[in-house]
Amino acid sequence: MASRRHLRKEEEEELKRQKKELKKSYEKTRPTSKKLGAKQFSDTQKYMLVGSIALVIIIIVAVQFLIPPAKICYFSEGDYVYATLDQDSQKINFNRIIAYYSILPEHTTVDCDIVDYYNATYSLKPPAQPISSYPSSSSIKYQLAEVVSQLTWACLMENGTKLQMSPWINKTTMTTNPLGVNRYTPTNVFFQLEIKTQVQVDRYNASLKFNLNIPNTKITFWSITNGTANATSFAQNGIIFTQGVNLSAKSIILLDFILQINTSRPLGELNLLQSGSVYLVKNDKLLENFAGASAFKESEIDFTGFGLGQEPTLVKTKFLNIVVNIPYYNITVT
Amino acid sequence: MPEDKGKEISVSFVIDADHLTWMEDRLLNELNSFMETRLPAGSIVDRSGKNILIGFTQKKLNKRDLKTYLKKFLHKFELEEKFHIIATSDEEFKVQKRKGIDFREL
Repeated sequence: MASRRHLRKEEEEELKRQKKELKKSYEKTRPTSKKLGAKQFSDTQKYMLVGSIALVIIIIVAVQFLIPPAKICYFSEGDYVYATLDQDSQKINFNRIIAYYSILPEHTTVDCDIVDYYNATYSLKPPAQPISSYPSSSSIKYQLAEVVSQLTWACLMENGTKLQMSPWINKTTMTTNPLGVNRYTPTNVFFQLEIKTQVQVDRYNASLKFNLNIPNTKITFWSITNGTANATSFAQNGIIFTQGVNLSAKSIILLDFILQINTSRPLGELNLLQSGSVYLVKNDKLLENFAGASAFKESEIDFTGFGLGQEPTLVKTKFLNIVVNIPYYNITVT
Repeated sequence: MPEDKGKEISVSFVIDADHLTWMEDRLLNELNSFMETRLPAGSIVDRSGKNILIGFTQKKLNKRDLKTYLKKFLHKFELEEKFHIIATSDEEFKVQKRKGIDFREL
């Protein structure tokens, strides 16, 4: 009996040994490398891993929304939009936009991407260094200068030079009477340049410069009037000029003048008008309201590096000048 | 058994029973006991974590027969509707939760 018990005990011990050996064998077959990916995860561990990664992502996204990035602080000191009317192609080319931005010192560089209301494309020439001539204790100013626009703005030019300059200006017309001049006959030609503003304008001036030295042509007289209150005008050395302040929306600026012309040549060859320009100045916050302002104002400027919904907002703008050349136009000689 | 004494043994089959533990950890011990009692003489069965290791001191059991034993286990514990046996490699089976069964319903 004792020997049978002894035998059984031996069998149990042998079984234990075999099980131990079995485990050892199993451990040997399992990969021992601790390299990434070498460890075999159980399904439970996999689910836990995926769950924890998802949780971390959710937390990161939530933090992004709950704590928006610090707002970049900048404002514009002055923005300039330059446009030129090409009489031949009957297009206005916006060829320069100069914008100044004041940006907090921690933002050492600015990358600017302009998306225009008219789907135009721009090439930027951002400055390498902040402008030293605008010192400020709390900010560094950058001049995003010489923004070369490829925007060409088609305009309608009918008899009477009707053209749309910008949403600031409701309409611009130049009428002439009579439309024909008899050769070698002194003729008074009445001109009227009418500019109707779309928005309130704080200051404006308009000038036309005539060529006084045209062979076989004599310009002996001009007079000017204008239709706005508090306006001043003068004519000097071939330049007629008018300026005024505080125009309400839908105001009309009139530039009336008479030229007495005695010539043997077709007026189209005379190049009577050397240059002309209209400046409208508005003290307002720009770019905050994209609607109903100048073309530039309707441009959305997006700085890369902003968070979601962090569109740039101009805090202060001193003025915006729109310069459009208006050529002498559309008089025939019979 | 005496003739097996001192004989070297290695793992012939591994049964991954991780999914069984989702239902009840006790089932792993039950599977271990079931295999110990049902497999033919010369079979060594032991548990390592969530795996059941099987080795043989004598003739190795046919893979198909081993699967049959595993199916019998599921049948005995009325687990056939929730689990099934799949071969994940030549020497490995897995007790797999059936598709469509939520692990919370186990």
